[in-house]
Amino acid sequence: MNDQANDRQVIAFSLVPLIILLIVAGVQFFLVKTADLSPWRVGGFGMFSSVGDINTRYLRAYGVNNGKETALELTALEYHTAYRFRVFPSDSNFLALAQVLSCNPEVLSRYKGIRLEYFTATFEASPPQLHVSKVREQSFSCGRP
Amino acid sequence: MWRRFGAKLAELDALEVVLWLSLACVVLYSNPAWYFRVPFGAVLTIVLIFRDSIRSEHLWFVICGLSVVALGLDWYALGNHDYLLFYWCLTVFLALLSSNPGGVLRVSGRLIIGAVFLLATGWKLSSAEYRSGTFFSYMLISDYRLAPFGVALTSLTSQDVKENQLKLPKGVVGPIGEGAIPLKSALAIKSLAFLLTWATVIVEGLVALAFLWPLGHGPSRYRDAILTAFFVSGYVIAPVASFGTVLAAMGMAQAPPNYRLLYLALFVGVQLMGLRFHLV
Repeated sequence: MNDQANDRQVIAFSLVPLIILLIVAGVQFFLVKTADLSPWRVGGFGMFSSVGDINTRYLRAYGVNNGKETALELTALEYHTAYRFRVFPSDSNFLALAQVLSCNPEVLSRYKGIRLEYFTATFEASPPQLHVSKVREQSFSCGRP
Repeated sequence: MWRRFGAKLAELDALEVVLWLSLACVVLYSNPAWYFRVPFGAVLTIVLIFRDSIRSEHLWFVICGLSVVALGLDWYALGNHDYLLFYWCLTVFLALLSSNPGGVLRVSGRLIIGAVFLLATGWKLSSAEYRSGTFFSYMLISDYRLAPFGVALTSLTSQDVKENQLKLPKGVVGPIGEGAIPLKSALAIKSLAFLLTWATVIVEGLVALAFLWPLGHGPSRYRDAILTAFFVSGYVIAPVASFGTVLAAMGMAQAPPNYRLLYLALFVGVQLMGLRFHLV
């Protein structure tokens, strides 16, 4: 291979990872702006640019029986599913979490339904305070999300 | 001793040093699930026994393939270092396929570092809460990595930080309600946040500029010094070892021989800095 062909190959091979990186950056930007993906995730170019990571995204799950509500303790699988929802709070991730929780045998045996609440928070520097607001709330029948 | 060590390192085959550091990144910081740990452990065992296999494109194809599967399974929950590691494994694979592996690693290393820092700077500048200093104001009074600096440099106390952390709602358990949660801060936090906000943008922007500038001209000549400044200023405060080690391996790939010792020190140093969270 002559020098010119060698140089062309070096440039072509070096551009492939860069092009993939730019595609990932584009996907990340689109999902953060349109679907509330955490800017800290995927390409992660938004790390340390916003407080809007999972630390300011909260989820609460309750078992419901005869009008009485009890906070549910999440299993490892449920915790991971909730984590994924907090990173990327899409409808399908919300339903996936409801499905995992409402099909849990222990939940099925003790409750008629479950209720999920999703909160987010923003920070105000002066005076320093965190503003928590409920973004989504939904009830599901056990076994039938 | 350091001079002798540096000279010895400069004599080593640059490609091999970069390949070993890259493999160390894969083994240390790839997806921790057992179904990735086991195959990566097998890869490491093979390479330790058959040392020449580190230069095999087949081996790096397998590593790349496993990285793609790891990303695919959890693509939106993973952070920047998983993606950076994948771009770098792909670069190593393509370099070994090419007729000039060192050339591909050098060019690609510079382009990836430059692009990552350009995009990170762009994100920061496009975020209103970053530009206003709100992001660092919050981190300095509540985040376990940054709050010690808020305590050391302002009148904020450790007790204030502890109280703030107790008041913050947890991810999936504990009490929560709508409304405002007042947090403790200090007068000088605002000034410190302003300083950190713009110092970070300047350092990261300079890294992008230096690595994307044509080689041998202007700021490109100082790129290794500028990247070192980023390591020293950024990772003393928030040592993200996974990202830092991959960055150091990429830095080593594109640097002249006299900078190898520096990048090796950064590779090791970033991991040691994380110790302060375990020892305190």
